[in-house]
Amino acid sequence: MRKFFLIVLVTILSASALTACASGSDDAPAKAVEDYLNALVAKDADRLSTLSCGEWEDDALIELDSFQAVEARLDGLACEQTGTDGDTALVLCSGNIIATYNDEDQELDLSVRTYQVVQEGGEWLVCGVR
Amino acid sequence: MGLLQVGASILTSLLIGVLTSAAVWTRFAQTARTYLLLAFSILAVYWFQPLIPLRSFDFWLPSLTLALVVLTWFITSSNGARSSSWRSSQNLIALLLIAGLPALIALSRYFLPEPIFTAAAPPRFVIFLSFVIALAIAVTLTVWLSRRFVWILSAVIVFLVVVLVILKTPALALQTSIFLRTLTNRSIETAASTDLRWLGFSYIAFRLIHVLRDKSRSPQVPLSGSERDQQAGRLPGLSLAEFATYVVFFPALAAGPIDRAERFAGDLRKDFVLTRDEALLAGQRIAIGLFKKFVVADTLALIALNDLLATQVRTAGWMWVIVYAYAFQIYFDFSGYTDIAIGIALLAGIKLPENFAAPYLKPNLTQFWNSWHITLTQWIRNYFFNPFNRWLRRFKSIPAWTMILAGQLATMLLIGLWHGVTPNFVLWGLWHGAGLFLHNRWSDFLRTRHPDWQQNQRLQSGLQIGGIVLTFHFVALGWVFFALSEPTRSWQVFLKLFGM
Amino acid sequence: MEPANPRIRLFPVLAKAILLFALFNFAFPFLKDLPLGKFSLYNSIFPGRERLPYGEVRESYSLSPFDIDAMFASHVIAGTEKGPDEYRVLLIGDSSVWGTLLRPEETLAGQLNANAVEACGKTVQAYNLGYPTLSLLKELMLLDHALQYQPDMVIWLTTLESFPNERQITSPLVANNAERVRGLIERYDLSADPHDPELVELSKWDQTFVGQRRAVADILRLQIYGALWAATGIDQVYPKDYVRAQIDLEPSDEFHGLTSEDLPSLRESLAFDVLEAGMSAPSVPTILINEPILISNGQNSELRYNFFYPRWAYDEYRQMLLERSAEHEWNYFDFWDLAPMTEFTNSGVHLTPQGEAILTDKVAEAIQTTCQ
Repeated sequence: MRKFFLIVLVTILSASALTACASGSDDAPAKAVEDYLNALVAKDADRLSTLSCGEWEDDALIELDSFQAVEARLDGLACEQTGTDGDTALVLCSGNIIATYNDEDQELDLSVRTYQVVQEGGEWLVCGVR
Repeated sequence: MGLLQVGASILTSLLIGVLTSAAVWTRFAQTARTYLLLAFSILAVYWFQPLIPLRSFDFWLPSLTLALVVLTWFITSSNGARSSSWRSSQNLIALLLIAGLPALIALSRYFLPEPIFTAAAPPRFVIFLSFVIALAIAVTLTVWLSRRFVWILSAVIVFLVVVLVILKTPALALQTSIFLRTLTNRSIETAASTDLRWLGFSYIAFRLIHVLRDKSRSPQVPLSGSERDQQAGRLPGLSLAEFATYVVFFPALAAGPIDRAERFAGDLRKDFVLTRDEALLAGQRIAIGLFKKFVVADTLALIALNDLLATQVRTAGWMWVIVYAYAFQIYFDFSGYTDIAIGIALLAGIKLPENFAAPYLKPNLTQFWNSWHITLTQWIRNYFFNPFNRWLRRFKSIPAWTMILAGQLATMLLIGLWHGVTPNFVLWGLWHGAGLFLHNRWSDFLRTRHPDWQQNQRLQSGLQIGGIVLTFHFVALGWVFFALSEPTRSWQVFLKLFGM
Repeated sequence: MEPANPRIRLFPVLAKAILLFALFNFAFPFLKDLPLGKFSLYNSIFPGRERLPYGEVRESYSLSPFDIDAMFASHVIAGTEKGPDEYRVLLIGDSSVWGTLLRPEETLAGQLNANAVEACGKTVQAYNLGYPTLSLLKELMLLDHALQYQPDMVIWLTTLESFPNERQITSPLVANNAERVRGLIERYDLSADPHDPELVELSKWDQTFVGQRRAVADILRLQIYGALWAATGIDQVYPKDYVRAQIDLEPSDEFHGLTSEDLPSLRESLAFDVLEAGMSAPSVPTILINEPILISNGQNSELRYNFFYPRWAYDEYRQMLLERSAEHEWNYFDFWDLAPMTEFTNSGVHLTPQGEAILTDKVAEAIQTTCQ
């Protein structure tokens, strides 16, 4: 019994130590923005909410609303962290959102926006655009 | 469950059945089967849970499910019986699985590029660890209290009912969502009553309540024969693995059937060999279920009654079409799911109870309710209808017909509320309660005033056919309340159906 | 004597099932000459649709199949025998003819029929064969198929944005009907590339039943939606609010990469050969109409008429249409400035019901003067 608990304790401590040392991927902020944009064109409101910080969630869903009536897809998406601003990571993406609405194909150039990504509860979340 | 999850469940169950059969000559086969079923059920609790807007709750809700399972087992397991001692090796292994698998899932965020068993990335491991420690403290405290105060079991039942009420009541669910969003620094503007989609909680709660209730039952209260067989402390001591597998059994996780713990444990303890005939039977059941659910039901769903369609249909004829479409869609969807669940369970040697027995071919409403969602009706009968009627009988001044009316209205109202605490589900419940009462009075009338009609075969056939048609239409009209969100909309549909 | 309960032998059953399915799956390409799309519950169990099926969301009770046979089989024209008193008019065009944001009775076809226009001693019966997406080749393809329905007149409403060569095959309907398109290119000696990479080429696997499952499912779903069409009369989502067509415009005179200095290139970049093919195809009177466009008075309206058209390009296009019509003696009507700015909805070519009414009157006059 004692041996059992000892094994469990050692396992837990090891796991905790490993996770504490795990610094997370360098491209996590960029990945967060890619996931965010994929959720946007897929019109997945629940996923979009979970990928947004609290302050940005309302705006994210408003942005999603604007896509409801269109067919949207991503073209050539690639995101990269370009810098930081305090605790905020700045991410720039290349590629386009192609939205088709009533025969009007609109290409929204993603490179005109810089996404602000913050870390909350260990998660990188989109928290605004510049 | 989507097709991918169904497929994975079938393969898992088949694998378990085959492995168990191959190792049946060993003394570990049945135990191994239980552990394997438990392990996959734990993973399923996380995998089947859909993504919800409250971040990380797609991990926490399944974790809370397992926490409730552990808590309930600890406070209902008897002291003394080896199967119930948490220190026994079999229970420690189960505990390790119940804690270890979620821990692995939580750790997966550090080594998997994309989450596999959860819809979104699980929370940080240190938070999960805190949760486990808090749970351990809560369980210890509750167990300690339950040994001293008998009412603790009832308190846990009340807690489960309260959670169920919160989840099913839109206003309360909304407030809870707002509260949780405030706690987690999320926007409350976008809070909705549908934020807390806790997979299978209605069924899990009923399984837990059944065990808690049967364990807490006072032996002094007189029981009917069937009740005595089922309750009154006859619940056998279940190991943690058996109990946990029963509560979160993956084929029946999302939508039942609601099995009984002792029956389920009996299947787990039997020596099981998956024969070719059983595999064929299971496969046949699964194939039928898949066809009913993913072909027939999903096709009917395109034209079935819903809030939007209700306002758009122009004529009475087409309104009847979409009402019929809903009646058959809900039947094929639910019974198809049950077929799949029963088939998958059969592959692993578990014979889940039937939930449907051709309900639309029944000649009266009483028989309909004995053949539609059978396990729910039985559960409500055991834990509400019978005790309620016993309580009513204390009041000798109440006429018999009033007691019958009260019992049936209250029971069907409860079933309605189990689906959702909204005016439409209340109306649906009352509709069926009134219908059952009317049938009861009609049966009584026939029996007392026209006993000779029983001998007339032609009349009986006519009554049978007429009964089937009438019952089906009564039920179909009742679905109008079930399908729609507001009483006014339901009323408009009724008016349109009858050309008004 | 057979045993009372013959045991089912699982593997032979499975093997046979797999073999049968495989046979059917790989034989499916040979069944493609069977016009599966022509089997339809419309015009029998369900009434025919008043316009070709097109839908992007489930609430429209419609979808966008690529099977031309199935599309027409669901249309009311396929189930309507031509009456002796009927002057059958086919309306070909884009989403403005199809009627985005308009109920069937509010479209050009709907209003012409409601007005009971008389032409050459008969009553005009207009059939809406418009289809969203801007492409002359798409319209030629639909016209080519529609000629089997014995029209007395064809009216082709068009706009500049359908003309650029690069747009011809971008329409999904065109891209997914490669064989038909190649047939048209060959028959009319069109300049379009029959091996354009945008034309969807089906691999051997794509042609099997599994590969074609989406197309088959679309045809089946189209039949089911027939019940909803019959029950509700709805074939499009009508949102309460929508974003109106732009009035304030970009400060740009660009048109598909061309500027006002590229006038000669504009002439070469427009698919007039497709227009000529379409105008020559029917053996009945054909009217060509340059459909109304929104003429903005907002920001940069001195550069552009609307979101689609810089002034220089559109003016040049009108001139070209006039020249070609004169050269080929087409029945051409230029209604480009017919509707005021306020009678456009969410696009520079989509009219309100009142705007359509204005157009209807003019089209009716055109029919009456052109019919023989």
